[in-house]
Amino acid sequence: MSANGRRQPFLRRLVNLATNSRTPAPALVVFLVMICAVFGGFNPLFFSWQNINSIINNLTFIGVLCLGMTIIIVTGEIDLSIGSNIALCSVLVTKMFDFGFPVVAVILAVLSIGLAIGVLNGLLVNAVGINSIIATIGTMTTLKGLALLFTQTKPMTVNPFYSFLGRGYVFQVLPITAVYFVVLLVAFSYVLKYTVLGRNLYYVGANKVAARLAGINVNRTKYIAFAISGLVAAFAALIITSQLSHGRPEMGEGAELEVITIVVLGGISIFGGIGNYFGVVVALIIMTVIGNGMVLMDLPIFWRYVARGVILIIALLIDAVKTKRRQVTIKLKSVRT
Amino acid sequence: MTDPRPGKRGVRLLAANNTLMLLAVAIILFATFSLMSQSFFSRYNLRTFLINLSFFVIVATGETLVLISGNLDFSIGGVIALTSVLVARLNELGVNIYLAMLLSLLVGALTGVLNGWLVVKMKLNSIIVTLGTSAVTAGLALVISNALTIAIFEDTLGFLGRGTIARIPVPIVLMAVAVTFASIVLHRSKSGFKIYASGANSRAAYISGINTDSIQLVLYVICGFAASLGGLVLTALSAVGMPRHGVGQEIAIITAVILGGVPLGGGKGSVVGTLIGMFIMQVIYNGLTQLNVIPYYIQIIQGLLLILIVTVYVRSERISRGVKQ
Repeated sequence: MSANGRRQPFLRRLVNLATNSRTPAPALVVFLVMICAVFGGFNPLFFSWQNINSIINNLTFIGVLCLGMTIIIVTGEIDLSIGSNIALCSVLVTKMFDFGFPVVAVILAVLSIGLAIGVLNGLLVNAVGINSIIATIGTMTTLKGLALLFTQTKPMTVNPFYSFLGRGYVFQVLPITAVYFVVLLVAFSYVLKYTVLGRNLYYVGANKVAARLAGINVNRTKYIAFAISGLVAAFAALIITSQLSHGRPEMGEGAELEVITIVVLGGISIFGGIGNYFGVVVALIIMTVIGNGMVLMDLPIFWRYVARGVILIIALLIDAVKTKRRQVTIKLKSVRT
Repeated sequence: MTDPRPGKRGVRLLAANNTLMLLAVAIILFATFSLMSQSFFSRYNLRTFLINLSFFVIVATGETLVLISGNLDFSIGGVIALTSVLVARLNELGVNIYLAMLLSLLVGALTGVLNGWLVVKMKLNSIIVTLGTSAVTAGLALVISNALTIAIFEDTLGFLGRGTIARIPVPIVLMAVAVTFASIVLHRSKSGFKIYASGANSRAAYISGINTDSIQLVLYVICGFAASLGGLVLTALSAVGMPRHGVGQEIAIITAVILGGVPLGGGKGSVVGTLIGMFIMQVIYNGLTQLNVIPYYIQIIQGLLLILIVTVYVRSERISRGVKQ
């Protein structure tokens, strides 16, 4: 990068590090170490086992959502309805326990509702042909209204087994939700990287027309992506209701923005077709640590919203610069041949 | 324009941006609610209805311009919240009210500059970027107010919401000015032509010598300014600066603009269409409230309405382009 041998300014080098490599993960890891040092310096409690445990616990809820959102964004679409999906599902969990449903039935019912919402989004995007952002904003508003409508202020009948599903610890140390997250992460990474479906998701995101001409069923691939997104949102709703032992319509509010921020920061191009889970996981840890560190520094919670918006914009800028460079490279290559 | 299939005529009429048809829908809805509810057609309710409508239309005017030029602005809700909280907080701190109002109006304009720069110069997706700036502005509103409601009893600001000019409430006057100004710019000036051109086909417009970048940037600034003005009106009406003001209303406003005949890609539509679209939505909202419907149903209806309208437009677009589905 220093072709003329001069040392470049620090900011310039940081931008280069973030925009040049295939994945932003190295730059993100550097950034993560930096913020950990800062937060640890401010408050030594940051490195306590208890705090790390709480970071892990907070991480899984958003982390699971990131897994689904990555798939959607790789496909070149977006799903803004996940927050309201969580709200509706968490309220329904409460309702169903009130009616005395068994735990397994509740879990299965909620997962299928999430799946149905995902398929509905896919229907609006595929069969009707609405832009996915607008379509999911429509479902977002509708689902939120439904969640508010179903709300009951009565506390939920806590089923010990159900609570254990989200609050338990493996060997008394590791939160059980971390196990769910790791298992899902491995499964999603495998699907995205080593299966035909995963390849199809990338192709559809990179170029829909080319994908169709290559014999890929574009619509089916998109249906699957939206269905996964809805299913994952329902699973996240199960985790959060189990952890907090109640459900309310404010749950998941703004989650979609946080998740999109993480995914784009993690190097998944918002234009589709590019990125992998490694960067996303580092970005996920960064955002969770920032949230946690702000609490430890006694900053008002609202600064988190501001930070989230600013980081989203920075991540988009990095993505845009990278895309521009890539397009220039492609043009140069095509000129040569 | 001529479609042999009779069943598609309704769709085609709407697709042709038939403002008259929208107006008919508005009048039918208005008449229906007037018949169904005694209180709907009362003098007091109509006054409230019109003042509420003017707040929405002032903000929607800016959004219409941005949408016609081919972009979207989701940050208006956050801008309304930030403006409202800022003016109340500055007033609380004893700042001169004119200065406070000016600074609060600057919030919207500056957010517009930021949005415009990111979307136009950096070529970012306008929806995602403005969702980001929306998070920033709404977050700053919470930070400034510490999530509390700040009372503001100030006659100079109050005039914007509760005052009258020639016995007409000021918000309605502001709405009339905004709609007239935007209509003149859109239909009677060169810039208006350029706005439509950059929305219809920004590449072609650019090649024909239109500076699409500066047009789209200026429209973002106007939209932010309109949102700030709406925020001031709302603060004046409610006499409080509140970080929940305007939050989530960007969806209602964008729905109304699309309902009013501006397609998602831009290049078509008018401010009068937006006015009628907003009128329809407010009639539904106000009418259902008068009929004692739980407000959550209204939110559901709003979401379904957005999906329905966009569906109709997308289908009719396909029909008119002759795409088989």
